[in-house]
Amino acid sequence: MFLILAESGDPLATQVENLFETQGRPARRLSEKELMEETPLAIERDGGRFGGLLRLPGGDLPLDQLSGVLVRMRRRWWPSSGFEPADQMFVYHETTAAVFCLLAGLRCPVMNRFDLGWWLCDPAYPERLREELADRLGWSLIEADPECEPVRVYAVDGRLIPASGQAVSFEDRAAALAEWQRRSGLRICRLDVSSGAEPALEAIDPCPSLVGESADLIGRVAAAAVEGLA
Amino acid sequence: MILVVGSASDTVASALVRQLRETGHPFQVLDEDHPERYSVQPDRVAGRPGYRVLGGGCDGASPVGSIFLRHAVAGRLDPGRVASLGKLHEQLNRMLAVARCPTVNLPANAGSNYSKPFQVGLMAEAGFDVPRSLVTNIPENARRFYDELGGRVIFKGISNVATFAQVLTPDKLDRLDRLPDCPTLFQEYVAGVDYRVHVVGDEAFVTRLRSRGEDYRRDARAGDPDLIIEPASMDERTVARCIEITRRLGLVVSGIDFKESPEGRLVALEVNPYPQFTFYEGRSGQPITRAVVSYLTRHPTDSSNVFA
Repeated sequence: MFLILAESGDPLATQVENLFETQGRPARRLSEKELMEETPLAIERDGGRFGGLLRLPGGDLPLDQLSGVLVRMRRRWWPSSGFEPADQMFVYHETTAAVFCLLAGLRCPVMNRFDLGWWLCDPAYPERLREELADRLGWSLIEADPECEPVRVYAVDGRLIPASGQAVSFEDRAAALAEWQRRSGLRICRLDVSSGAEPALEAIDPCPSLVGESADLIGRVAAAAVEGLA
Repeated sequence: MILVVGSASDTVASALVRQLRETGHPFQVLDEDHPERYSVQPDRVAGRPGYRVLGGGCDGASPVGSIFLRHAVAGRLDPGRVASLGKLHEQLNRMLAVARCPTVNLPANAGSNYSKPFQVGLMAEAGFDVPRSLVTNIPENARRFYDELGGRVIFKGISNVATFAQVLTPDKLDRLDRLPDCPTLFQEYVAGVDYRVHVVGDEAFVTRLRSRGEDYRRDARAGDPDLIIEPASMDERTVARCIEITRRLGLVVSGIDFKESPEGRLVALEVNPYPQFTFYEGRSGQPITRAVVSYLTRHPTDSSNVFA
């Protein structure tokens, strides 16, 4: 069973779900609210052993029966207003810490396995990613120029899928990019690259929405994601 | 120069400043109790991103060799103060993302204890004996865990929001029905003596704590005169493992909690990235602050891209 954690309007998640259906692979889609608020869970750790279950309508799903998870959460969930404000804050952190533990511990492919900087909406997180990746690729960093449209490239497990008409050649860095994606857990991301003579990194979007992208592009990113999950 | 970032009312930062004064090493304090006094400005330093800290006593001109940081929390829910402190934290954390001088400790590397069961997994991978753990919001799973462990179970919060560990006694079992409101961490209860290992770079200080309750912090807060805190030792392999996991998490300083059962089983419970080490050294006499200062003062400033 594959799990897709995404809202209904997420074009990449919808395309991935369609591909799974076409391939006859069972998949279950849960919105953020459904996962955080309506899905009872149990996560067990005994030494190095990790296990547990998600209680879904229709039956329990043991975690070791998960084949892969696509994480497209928008981090907009907040506990019900039925709680006092202080309790809302507590429930938010306890639930987020539980879900983080769940996704970090799964042995199956998880795209993306975000680190805590993303979960906690740390404003310095994108900057850290940019610094790390530029260092690894041997690129310089450049601040976004509002006058100049960057080249947008989707990267899925080191595979480069350009969104803009212009192409930036960094096939020679594909192995380094794939290694960074593996280590950072960001197996799907978007890179905004300056289109000058020497490539320079403007920004990294660790969870790109793909809203407004062409159906062809979404299809290619989704196909690469399904390959990575399977 | 050393930059000390935090609250003037924090006992750890204050002890560090006192120790720095004694050494005569140059330092500057960024007092987060007054966030409105400071700004952190990006700048280019030798073609790479750098930062200058301005305001308070900081003129943005002296190169910083190392940073000691314990972010303050907004003590009261004053929206203006929360916003002002949040803005300063954001600027500082952006600076730390590119700072080339060491920081004790980097907030970006201090997140592992946000999820205690996640951290338990990291400790198990590092070779520590860890307690059996269950995170759940399903009452019957919690009851089953309780039965499997013969009723020797504690419960506490999952995240780093402060909670005290409590023993799950039979009179509390009815409260499991409230679990669907919020998941909770249940752990095998290991009764015995507490240990705290403070790691500072390659050094470690082992402290033993004997208390009557299951959480010595609660006894300390209640002023329990029977709480004993003393220097101790541990086998070399465990100490080496403490230093190694601290390094692997990207931390310089950590406080690692253990329980030792009467049978000699040593169980690792938690790694604290911002330990309150002055509490322990104040009672055990171990020179932990001095070790932190020694670490901070040994870094040159020539390649720094942070100025204060």
